[in-house]
Amino acid sequence: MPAYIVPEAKGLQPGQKVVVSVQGREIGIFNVGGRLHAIRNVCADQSGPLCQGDIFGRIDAEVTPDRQLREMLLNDRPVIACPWHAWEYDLETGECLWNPRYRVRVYAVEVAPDGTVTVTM
Amino acid sequence: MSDRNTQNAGGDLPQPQPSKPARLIVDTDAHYYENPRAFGQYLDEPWRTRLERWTGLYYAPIAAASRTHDVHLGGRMKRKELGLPVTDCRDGVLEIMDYLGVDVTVLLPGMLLGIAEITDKRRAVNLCHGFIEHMLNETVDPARGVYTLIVASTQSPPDAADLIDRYAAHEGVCGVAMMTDAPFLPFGDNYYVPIYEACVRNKLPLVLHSGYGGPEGHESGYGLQTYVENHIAFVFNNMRQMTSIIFQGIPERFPELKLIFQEAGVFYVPLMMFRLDSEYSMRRSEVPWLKKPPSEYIKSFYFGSQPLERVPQERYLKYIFEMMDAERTLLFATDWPHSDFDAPVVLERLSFLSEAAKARILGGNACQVLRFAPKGPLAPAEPAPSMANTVVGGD
Repeated sequence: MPAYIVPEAKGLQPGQKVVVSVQGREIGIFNVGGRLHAIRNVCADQSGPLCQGDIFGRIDAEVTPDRQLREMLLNDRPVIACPWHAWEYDLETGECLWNPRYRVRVYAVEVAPDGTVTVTM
Repeated sequence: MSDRNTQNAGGDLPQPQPSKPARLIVDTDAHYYENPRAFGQYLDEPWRTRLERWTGLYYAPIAAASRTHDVHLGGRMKRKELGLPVTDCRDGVLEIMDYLGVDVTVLLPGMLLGIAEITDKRRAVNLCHGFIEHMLNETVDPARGVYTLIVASTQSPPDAADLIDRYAAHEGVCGVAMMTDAPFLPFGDNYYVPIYEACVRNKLPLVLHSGYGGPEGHESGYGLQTYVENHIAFVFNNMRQMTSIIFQGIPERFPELKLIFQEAGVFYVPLMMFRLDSEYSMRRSEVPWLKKPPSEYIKSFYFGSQPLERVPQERYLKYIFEMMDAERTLLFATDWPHSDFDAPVVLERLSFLSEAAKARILGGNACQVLRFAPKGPLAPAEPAPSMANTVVGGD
C-alpha cells in the first residue's frame, strides 16, 4: 500500500492532533503520549466527525473471584470517542468498543528521523 | 487534545454525511432550551413576579438523568464544544436545522419535558401558558419551517383545554403535547377528556412524548441506577400510556383524535401490537367497547422514529417496519439536541426502503398528521412553466 507524506503532522506534540485530507479521505492524526495514531474521520454510527472527539483511557472492568465487579482505567489503551454519540473506538485497531462488528479504518503512521510523517493507506 | 491544525476539517461546523438529499425533511421532535424567567412577562400576577424571582428549580422533580447523571460522559460527547448552536432562540434553531438538513422542525421545550412530574398544578399551568406565549412571540416562524406544540398541563386538564382553545389558531402551532412520564392517572382515564375534546375541537393532533423514570423520577424507572439503565423508562412510559389509551377506549370515543407517540424507538410497537392482541383475545369481555384488536388501533397511531434501534442485520428493522406499517405510521424525529439524537442518515441508509417510502417517513407522513401552514418549505409547488412557447428539439 502506498505511503503519503502528511506535512501538517510534522512536529505534532503529545496531546495534539491534526485533521487532514489524504487522497480524498479525511483522517485524524493524534499524538498520544509521544506515539502517532491515524484514524478515519467518520464514525460508523451516523457518520459523525469522529476526529473532533477527544482521546480517553479505556475504561474496563472485570468480575473478581468473589463475583463482584471491579472497574479500571487503562490509560495505555487509548480510545477516541465520537463527539456526537460517544461511540468509542480503540485507536490501535479501530474496533468499536461496544460492538466489534463496527470498525473505523486506522492507518499505519511512521515518523522519519527528520520528523517527516507518512501514513500508509 | 488540542487542535493544532484543522484547516481541512470541513469548515466552521462538521457536516453530517451523506449530504442532504433533495426531499422534504420534517423533524417531528426537536427540543428548545427556553429560559423560564423570560416567560413571566406573558403571565398575570402573581405568577409574573413569582417566575421571574423563582429561587428553586422551576420544573423539579424533572428528569433525573439530565440533572444528576454524567450525561456527556466526561467529555466523550461534546457537541457544545464543536460550536453547534444552542437551540434557545430562533437563529439557533434555524442554524441547527441547516446543519442537520431539516426543512421543518417541531419544537418542544426542553425543560417542560419533565413538567408532568411536578405536583404544583398552578405552576404547571402557568409554565405551559408562558411557554406558548414565548414561542409564538419569539421563536416560531412557519415561513421558515419552525413550529411548536401547545404543552397540555396534565395536572389540570380543564386549564389545558382552555390553553388549547386560546392558542390553537396560531399558524405556528402544529399540535398539542402531553408527556407520558405523567405519574398520575394513565391517559385512558376520563380525567383527560377535556384535553382530548379540545384537540378534536381544534383539529390538532396530540403528541404523547416520553420521558425519564427513576432514580429521582416516578416509579416507571424506580431502582434503576445509571443513566443507561433508566433511559429505558422512555419505552415503559409509552407502553403504559398506550395500553391505557387503547383499553379504556379513547380511539373509539375520539376517532378523529390523531395520536403521535414520540421518543421510544420502533421495536416496542410490534411488541405492543401482539402482546395486547394476545391479552385481548382472552379478556375481550372486560373491554367490550373495543371494536377491533388492539393492533388495529395501534396502526392508526403515528410514531416518531427516534431513537432508531441499532441492529446487527438491517432485515430486523425491515420486519419491524412491515409489522407497524412504517411507511404510513412512522415520522422522522431527531430529538436534537439530546445525547441520543438521530440524523436523517439513520433512515436514508436503509436499503429496504423505496425512495417513495423514505420521502413519506422523512416528511410526507408528518405533513399528513401535523397541522402545518402551507407556506415556506411547505408552500405548494409552483405550477410548471407553460411549454406552449418552448421550442423542443431543433434543427
